[in-house]
Amino acid sequence: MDVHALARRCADASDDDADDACAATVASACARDRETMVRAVMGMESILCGTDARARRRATSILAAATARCVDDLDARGVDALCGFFGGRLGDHASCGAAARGAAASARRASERAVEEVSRALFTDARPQSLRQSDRESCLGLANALMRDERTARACARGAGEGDFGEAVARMVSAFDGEKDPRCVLALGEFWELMPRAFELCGEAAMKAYEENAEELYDVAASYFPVSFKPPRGDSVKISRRQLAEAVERAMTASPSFAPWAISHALESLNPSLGPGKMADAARAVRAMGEKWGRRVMEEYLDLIWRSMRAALSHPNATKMEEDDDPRATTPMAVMTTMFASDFGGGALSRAALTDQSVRDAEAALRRLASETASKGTCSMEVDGSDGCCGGGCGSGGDDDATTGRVVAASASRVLGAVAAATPALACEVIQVTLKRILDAAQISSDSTASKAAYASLILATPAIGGALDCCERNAEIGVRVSVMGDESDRLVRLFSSAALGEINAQNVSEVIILGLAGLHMMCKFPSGFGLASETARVAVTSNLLDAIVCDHADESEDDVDIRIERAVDALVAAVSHGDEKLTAAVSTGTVLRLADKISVDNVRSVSGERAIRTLVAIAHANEAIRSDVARLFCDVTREALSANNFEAASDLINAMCRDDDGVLTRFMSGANAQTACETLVDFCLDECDTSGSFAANGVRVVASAMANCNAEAQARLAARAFDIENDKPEMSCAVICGLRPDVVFDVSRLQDVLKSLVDRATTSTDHGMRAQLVAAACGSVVRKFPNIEFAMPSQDLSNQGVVLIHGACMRARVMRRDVSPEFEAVVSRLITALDVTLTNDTHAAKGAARALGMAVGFDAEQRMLALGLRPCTHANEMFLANQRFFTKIAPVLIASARGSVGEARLFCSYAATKLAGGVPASVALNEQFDLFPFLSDVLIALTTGSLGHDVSSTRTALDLVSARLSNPALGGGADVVELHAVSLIQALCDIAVERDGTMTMDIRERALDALFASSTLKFSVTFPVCDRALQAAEFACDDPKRRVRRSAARARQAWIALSSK
Amino acid sequence: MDNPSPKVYVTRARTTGAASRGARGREESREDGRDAFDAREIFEHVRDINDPEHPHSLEALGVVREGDIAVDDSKNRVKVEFTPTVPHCSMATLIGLSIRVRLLRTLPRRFKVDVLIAPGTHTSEKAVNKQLNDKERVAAALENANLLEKVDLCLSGKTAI
Repeated sequence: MDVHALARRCADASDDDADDACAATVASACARDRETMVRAVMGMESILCGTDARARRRATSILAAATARCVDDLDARGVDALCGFFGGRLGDHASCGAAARGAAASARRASERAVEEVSRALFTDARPQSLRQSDRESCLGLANALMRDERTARACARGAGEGDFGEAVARMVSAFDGEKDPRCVLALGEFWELMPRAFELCGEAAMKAYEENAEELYDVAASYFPVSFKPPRGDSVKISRRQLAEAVERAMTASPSFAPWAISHALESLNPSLGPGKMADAARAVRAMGEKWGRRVMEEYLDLIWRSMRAALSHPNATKMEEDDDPRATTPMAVMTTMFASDFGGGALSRAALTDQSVRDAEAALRRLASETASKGTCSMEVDGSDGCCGGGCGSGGDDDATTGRVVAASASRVLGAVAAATPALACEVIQVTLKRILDAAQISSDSTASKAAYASLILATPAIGGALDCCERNAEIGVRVSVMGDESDRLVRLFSSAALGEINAQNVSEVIILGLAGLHMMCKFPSGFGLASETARVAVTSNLLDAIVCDHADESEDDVDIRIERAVDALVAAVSHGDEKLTAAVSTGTVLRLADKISVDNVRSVSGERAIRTLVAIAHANEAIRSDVARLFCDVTREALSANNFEAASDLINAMCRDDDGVLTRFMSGANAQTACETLVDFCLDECDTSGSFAANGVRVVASAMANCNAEAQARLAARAFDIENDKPEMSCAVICGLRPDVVFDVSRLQDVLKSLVDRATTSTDHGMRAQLVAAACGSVVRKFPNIEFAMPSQDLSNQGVVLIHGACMRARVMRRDVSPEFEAVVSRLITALDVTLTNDTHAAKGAARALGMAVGFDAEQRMLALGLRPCTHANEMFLANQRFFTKIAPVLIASARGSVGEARLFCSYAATKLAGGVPASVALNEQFDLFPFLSDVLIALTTGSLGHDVSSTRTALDLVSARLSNPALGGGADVVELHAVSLIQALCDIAVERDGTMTMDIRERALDALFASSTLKFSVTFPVCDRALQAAEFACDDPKRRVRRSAARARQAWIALSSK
Repeated sequence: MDNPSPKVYVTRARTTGAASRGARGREESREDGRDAFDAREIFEHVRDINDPEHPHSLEALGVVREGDIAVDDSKNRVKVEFTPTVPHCSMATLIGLSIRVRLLRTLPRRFKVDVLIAPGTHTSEKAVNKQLNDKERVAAALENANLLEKVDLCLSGKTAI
């Protein structure tokens, strides 16, 4: 169609969608050449000048879109003509928005005269305040487009007031004042920011007019500050509070002539009662003003700024996070801290802060407190036990002074902390000058902290160290590193150590200890070069941390002891894991040796021995070199303990070495001494360990883990030894096979023979205890670590428990390595077929198949030995998302089978699917594509009634999935499906909750009650029929023998009582 | 308000479930044996109840304290003493009633619960104690829909007044 007709048709279109599509077509056609554009304009001519407002708007809009595309191809006259046309249309209420877009597109190439005319029309004819939002936004877009370019900005400023710049400012203010829509406020912020340059370009008179009207201009921006905006739920515009705040901030800082109003206005919002969000905005605004306007403008306001900052810093809100979704959300104090480091007044502000009255008061209060004699501490009436103090006049004000000292110290500490956090240089000044002076006054020395002002000094010093640490961590990469604590290192270590050891008197000793440990922890965390300056301080800090772990205090509760040890251990871990080599050396040569002295066969189970093991494990986990030393120590002492038949001590050490999460042997060690110690221990265990007694499980655990840490030569030798003793000590052979590493060279055919023999025995024996599990573990380990070694799965029936275990371990191994081989698929297929009892008529085999499938994604707690060769303690690892891949592949097959069958066949398929779901997150298991929820009630009822046998892990999985779905409807499975099964589910939950015959563990009862609590959120029509039953069960469970169950029961009971009283 | 600016105390973190420490934590994690009802367990039930007038829990205001709770599991007795923030607190009865209702809803029926004002901490101590421990009066109070609504608000962590 000819563009002439097309344009005409488009402009006349009644459908908005068609309108948009046609407009785009016409615009792209116009972009081809000038003639097409002319024809399009001619086609719409009568409509552009017609009386139909809607058509006129559409035609203007099409012309604006076309102009935007082809403005670069038009000649100057054409552009001026279009610009003039759009300028003329700005007064037309119907087509104003479209005209503004067209004018913005053409202004870039139009003459200054044409732009002036557009500007005049925008600020006199358009009257944006009376337009709808989209048109207002277009007008602001035009204003910003004019302001961005120097040439058009000059013309805009001239045109707005028709030569009178004062009038121009007034018209600009009146055009956009009172804007409410956040989209427009964003554009307004930009316009206000660009405006001063436009007036500046027009010469001194224009700038003078701008400055004369600065208060009025600032008022427009000021009306939005502090920003109180919360995007509505489901907001499609997606403008955040932070975006708006930044736009307003730009507007407020547009010109230094705003300073007299802007600074005091922003500081008004640095008011703690307004909350951390507005405080942070205010601090950011003041900082932005300083950065934009510079030192000259800010100088006269620095005193005012500091006074406001001080009031803000001393309030708790200063350290609270602003409630903002923005990832850059921070605390007001963090923003204010950056002001101390700023160019515009950093020096003056930090000087004001460090000489502030609060700091001077703290110094005076601590001096007075320190100089008090002991006898002056308490009023005699208080000592006598009379009711309170005499009321004054007795001259004793000890407690008052102490309280005052603490209060002023707390106030000053926040100031010091904020300044110290600014730059390393300021941190040095805070600690080495100001804090030094105060500690001198408090009579704290590096030899003694007996001063009465010690506690207040601690309160004062902690934030200063914390701030310095923050600052040094931010500047960890700078070239020149100087200790921020310098000569004060020894004194500060002494102060915090005294607190950590409970040597400082205070009302609450536990609090002082925690404060002391926190301080020492911070000192250990400084990046290398910034921390403690002297060797004595480093040695003292690690030594005192160790003392804090091993010492005991009178009247300290067990909880407090536990917390104290945990904090002290964390501090030592920080000392060896933050890259400070000198501090690490102090720990490895001092602390570790002292701890090693506490670990002997006779001492392992003592309180100090237990604490030493705990500390060594934690430090070893954080530092590789220390781990080798600790491993050697533990291996040697374990061997000694076994020689002395002290199995309890050996068990504790084995637990410390073989724990999956932080065990000392769970990662390979390169230290030769440690490797030799491991080899010696394995040799010893193969010779001496009795594998039939109660220690057997620990024996095989430590052999497997120690074997995994031997060097390649030792591994080959020990493997050959283990193959030789396969007949006499099959458990030890299995443990050695579990510890074999893939890079070791050994006799493969021998291994295959040994495995075959072990499997034969495991599948023909009726004993399916630890030995069968270990054989399965060895098979799984070989399948996982040596994929090239052929291993034939036992072909016997799946009703044989040994066969099930071996299948399960090998399945798990293959899933862990993401095996997709046909052999694996054949095994899976065989298991799925065995689930169909209508074909096999063998429920035992079906149950065995379900269990084996379940093992593919993880083992139960009682199958711990089965996992020996597949756990971190034997250096086996799982590929990322392996379980989920297996679940998503197999679960749909199982659920489809369950859906297509009835009776037991359906139950076994559902059971297998539930077992598989135990290895993946609830969000995956309950995903709608699997539709597992409808089958959970059958499984749960069968597990409750015992028809599927006693299976704790599956019951736990089913309960967790039910609970997760009931608590979170978004997890999948429609409400109708949940409601359909709700009654039977709730009844099953009640049955589990009241079970007392030992079949349901505490954990299961607790989870059932949690699910019962979650079920109270269902529809009233669903809960009503079972309300009495649920209440009875919850009430009965409120008297459960276990506290954890009672806690969940109380929660569930309250929720159901609320339902019953409706 | 009887006390427009009450003293607010630091509350301790919950040490329940996996976070339980020390011997109590070990006892809780054992499958066998019976965990006796103790003062801390009762305190865990009442610490979150909200003050009727202030947006703080009874624990934060120091109205209930673990040390003021006595439990005799074998004799099925629980005694809770609470301390109003001011001696003339007109909300003492409502606070006591909230504590009683929470314990009625969370403890087994075998327990006889006494909720009392700590001696010497309230001007109408006797009268309030009599009200709180009179079964008939408590039952009658809970029949009052308006009062029950206020109690439920306190129990759900909101201010009732």
